[in-house]
Amino acid sequence: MEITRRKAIKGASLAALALSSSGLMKTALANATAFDSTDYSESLELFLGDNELSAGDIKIKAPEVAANGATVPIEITSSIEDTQSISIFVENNPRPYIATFHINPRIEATVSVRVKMRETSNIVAIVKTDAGHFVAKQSVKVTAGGCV
Amino acid sequence: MAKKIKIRASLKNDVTTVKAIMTHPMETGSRKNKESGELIPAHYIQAVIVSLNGEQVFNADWGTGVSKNPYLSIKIKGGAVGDNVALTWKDNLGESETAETKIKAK
Repeated sequence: MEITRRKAIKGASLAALALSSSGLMKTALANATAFDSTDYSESLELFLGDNELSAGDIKIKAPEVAANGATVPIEITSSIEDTQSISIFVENNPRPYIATFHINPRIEATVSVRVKMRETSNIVAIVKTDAGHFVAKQSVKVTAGGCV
Repeated sequence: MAKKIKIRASLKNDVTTVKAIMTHPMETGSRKNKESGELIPAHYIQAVIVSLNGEQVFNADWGTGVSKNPYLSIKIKGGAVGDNVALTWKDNLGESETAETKIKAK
């Protein structure tokens, strides 16, 4: 079932790329495949498209050591002007792309959430703005992996 | 049955902190049933929306990597005591839940 869904998404994505010039459509489909990707570099590539990453003023609050990988509390705060979204990746997870939080002028550019971590890994936070994509990383040591 | 979403909103220094816990299995689709050995189908929240007095102020896209019974906290600029804050989630099986609360002073 999972394979069929993936194929369907990939097929739809290719069709959309071929037929549609709608940027929004492309982004939505690229995100769906990025979530399904089981490889960090691939998921990042699907997520970013042609955009490049530069280091930015992003604070990741996470435990240095997580006793339980099933639920690792993290807080991400962006001090970058006009933050549009905050996305989270866990490099060594079977599906590294965790989530994207859409930020707008009505809310602060900070989110708290709990994520699954299979093993010790970097947590990667990516902030999207009109000026580009920014990144920060922090390592979390996991002593008992979560069922991911 | 347990409430599917617990939500709180509190106002302090002109910022409303919204905290929520959603009751959801967040199954990745890769886990096996220990007795039958069969894969447990994926079942996870894909979208979360927060609104203030009926107007959407936040949304998020999630994959399977968010923990079971997800916790989310965000900060809304402004808001007033008594304002309505609502949170809705939608999952990959088309299920959906909404919960509302009123902003309290902290």
